[in-house]
This record gives sequence, C-alpha cells and structure tokens, in this order.
Amino acid sequence: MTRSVAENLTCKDSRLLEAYLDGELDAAGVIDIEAHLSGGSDAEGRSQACDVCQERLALQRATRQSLKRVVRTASLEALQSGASGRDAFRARALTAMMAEQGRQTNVSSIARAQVPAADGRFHWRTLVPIASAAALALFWGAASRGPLTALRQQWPDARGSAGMQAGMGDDLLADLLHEHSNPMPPQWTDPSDVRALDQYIGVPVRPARFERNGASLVGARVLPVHQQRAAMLQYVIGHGPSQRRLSVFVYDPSKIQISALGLSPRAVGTSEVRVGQESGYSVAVTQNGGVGYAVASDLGTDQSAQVAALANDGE
Amino acid sequence: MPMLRSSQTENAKDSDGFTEECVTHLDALYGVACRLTRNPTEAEDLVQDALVKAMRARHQFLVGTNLKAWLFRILTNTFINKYRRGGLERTLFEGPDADPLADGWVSASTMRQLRDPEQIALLPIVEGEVGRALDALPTEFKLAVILCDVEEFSYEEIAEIMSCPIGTVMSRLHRGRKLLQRSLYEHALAMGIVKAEPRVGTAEPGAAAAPADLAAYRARKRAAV
Repeated sequence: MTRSVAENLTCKDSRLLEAYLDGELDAAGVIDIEAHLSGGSDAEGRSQACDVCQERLALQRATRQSLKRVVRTASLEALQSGASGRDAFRARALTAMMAEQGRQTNVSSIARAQVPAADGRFHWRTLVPIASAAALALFWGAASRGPLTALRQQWPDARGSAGMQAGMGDDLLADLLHEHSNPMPPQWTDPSDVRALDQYIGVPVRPARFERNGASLVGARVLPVHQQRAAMLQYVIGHGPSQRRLSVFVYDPSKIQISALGLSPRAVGTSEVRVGQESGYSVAVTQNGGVGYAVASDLGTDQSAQVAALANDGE
Repeated sequence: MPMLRSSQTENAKDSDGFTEECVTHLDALYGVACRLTRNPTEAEDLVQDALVKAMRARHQFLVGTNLKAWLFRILTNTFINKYRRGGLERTLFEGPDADPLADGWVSASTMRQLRDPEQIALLPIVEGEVGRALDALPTEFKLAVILCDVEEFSYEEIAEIMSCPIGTVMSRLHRGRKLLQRSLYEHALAMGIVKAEPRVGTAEPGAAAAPADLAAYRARKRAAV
C-alpha cells in the first residue's frame, strides 16, 4: 500500500484535514488533500481514495453547521426572551458606549447637556436613529449627575438630584396621570394654535405627529408643572363606546424631569421608551431632540409605547 | 500585531462611525459571550463591558484593520479578567503527549451514521447535544471552536484574539473538535443511533478515554510533577 504525504498526515492526524476545511492550506496542500479525498492521482501517479477522510470531512462540516445554528439560535433566543429584548440591548450597549465617549470627550459637553442650548445641541442627531436612545440616556444621566458608568442605572433617580429640577420624582408622573384621568376641556382646538404653544413651553409642539393609528386631536392646554409649563395634547382613538382617550405631555426636559423609576425600558423600532402602568392607566415616556414626551392613556402599555415612539419620527 | 498598533491621526475623528460599526457585531459578540458565561444576563454585561472598553481603547484601534477581531479580543480578555484570573489554561492539554483522542476512533460508516440525512428527524436532539457538548468543553477549546466554526475567523485572527501562537490555535481547535465529536458519538451510542464498534486505528492507551477521564489524566500528570 502506497502512502503519500497527505495520506500519512491526514489519516494519522486530521489536523491537516481541518486546516483544509478551514481554508488555511496553501495551494499545494489543497491539491494533495483533494487528491487524497477524491481518489485522483498524486504527483507520482498513485491512485488514492480515502473513505475515512471523506467521512471525517463530511462529519466536521455537519458539526460546523450544527454549531452555527446552536450558537446563533440559542443566543438570539436568549436575547429575545431576555428582560428587555434585542433592540433594548442594542440601545443599552450604545448608551453605555456613548456615555463612555462622553466621559472621555470632556466634562464640558456633559455640562452642556444639562442645559441644552439651541445651537449645536445633540450633535448625535447625525447618528442612526437608534443612537437617540443613547443620547437620551447620556443626557438624563448627566442631568442627574449620576455616575455615567453605572450602566444599569442609565435612567437616573430624579430624587437624587432633588432641588435641581422642577417636578421631582414619581409625583410628577402621578400629576400628569391625574390630568389625564380628570381632563379639563382643551383651551385650543385648532392645530395651528396648538403648535403655537411652543412659545409657552419652550420646545416645539407638533400635534400631527401623534395623529396616527386612528388618533385624532381634540385640543390642547397648557399645564403648570412646578413653576414650569408643559403642553397637554388631548387625543381620542376610535368611536362610540370603544373610544379611548390619550394625552401626550410635551415639555422641556431640562426644566421638567420625569423620573423613570418604576418604568421599564422598551425598544419600539429604534426608539427607547420607558413604559409602566399606574392607577389603571398606561404611561410611556421618551425623549427626542431635546423634547420630552410622556403619553398617558386608557390603552395598553404596548399601544402607549407605540404612540410615544411616534415622537421620534421626523416630520 | 497590526490590529493593535495605534493610529491617532485616522481614528480620532470618526467617532460616530466607530460606535455604529461596533454595534453591528453585537449579535456575534453576544453569541460567544453566552457560550462563555453560560448565562444570558452575564453575557449581556460581558458584551457591554467589552464595548465600553473598546470605546475607551479606541485610539489603539488601527482604522482599516479588522474591527470584529479586535472586539473579540477585548471580549475574550474581559472574560478572562472577570472570570478566569489565571488566564486560559495552556499547559497540560497542549503538551505533545496530552492527546488521549487519537484519530481513527470511529469507522467511516459510523461517521456517516452520525451525520446521515436519514437521521434528520433526530436533528433537534443532536443539536441539543451539540450545545451541551460545547458547554462542557474547556474554555480555551470552546472559544477556539466557536471563533473558527461559527464566526469563521482565520487561524491568525484567532491567535490574535486568544493571544497565543497559531500552532496553539490549531491544537485547541483539533482537541476541541475531537472532544465534541466524541461527545456526539457517545450520545448517539447511548441513544442507539449508532452501533458500538471496536475501535479502529491507533490503540494507544488513552485512545479509549472518554472526556470524563481527562480529569483523571490531569490528576495523574499533576501527581507526577
């Protein structure tokens, strides 16, 4: 029985075969191995065909396919069934990276984030939309002076910064819910009047943004909140007895902070939204481009989150 | 190690692109982290830690080189620092006489049965076993196998990621794959998918050793020192 170099190496030690499978052999090695496998002739005209090595190769290929499926599928399933889901994990990772970058860049950018100026604020606006979640958390983290590296607490405890901002903590959320559950009639019903509310609250008000999924604007009021003002946009969804009410609060987050404590993060499309339920109503809080939005509704948390995510759609 | 050389000029400006590109490797990083930590929550933390470190060390990354390999290197080091203070094991298993898994332990027909399309109905069971066998591998073998077979890194990239010579990569891959296939074979044997057969090929004393006997082998080695 004749033995070529390839046969010797391959049959005794499948390392060479593995290198072939892994694409790590040079051309001469590939020719040798293929001759050994296929029964072609080697340089000296000897015929070979190695069943065992063919099967090794086939088994190794099959195992590799299984490994790919196992590693990828299992991790994807773990991620999707995790507490926050895949998109939220992405957003969280981005947030952590942006926070690290922010920490590196300089302290002044953090100071700037605390009181966003009209010029050049949110330079991350140029990022993919998902980065807005990161910018958001950086902003909130900075505003609370919380440690940016405390990654699990990107959304700060507003009570930790008591006295710095108007509208501390969960009682503000409770106030907003109270306004939603016991609504005063709207002061303005014309959309152009509603848009003009920006002069009272200091950030743009775009009522049309939320008029999707069957929601229609009823009107709006200005809401005094702890010496500051927010706009309360009132919508209805559906008709007749199944009609539901929806309130969108628009505010300047540098003046009014809503604690995200007790709300859980959720990714809706590329937006990060904090959702929760209180007194039978659902709440969803988000930020986009330096504007804060809080949605309170008689709908489920999912739908409120969807509405809040509309805040992040461009016009 | 070209991918570790620093380039202050090129990468300083491209901060946003860097972040985005890192995140495109998130799923791959997470997949490996899951197998390393065997805990989805810890895997999330590990990936996040690694990405933050990448951000911190980004001035060391040479633009135009392999970002994915660089990120995996950081992930690996983060894992080792966090969970494996002693680093990856590299002594007993890698000596010339440390191979209890000589080639030729099963016949061609048994190998054919192991991957036979007729057994396709058993695929979920087999894959469940692949997952278990992978988890049971020593970390350095597991990592080499995943980096090569799942992420398709080259030997050279794996050597950089695992900070070891290419020869060590090949040896870890070889042993890892052998251990995996042995687990699969033994599982298939236990389930009656394949028939027991007399061992073919080399009959060195360790050749019949199941993975469980590796511990005994190591104990012997340790006692001998």
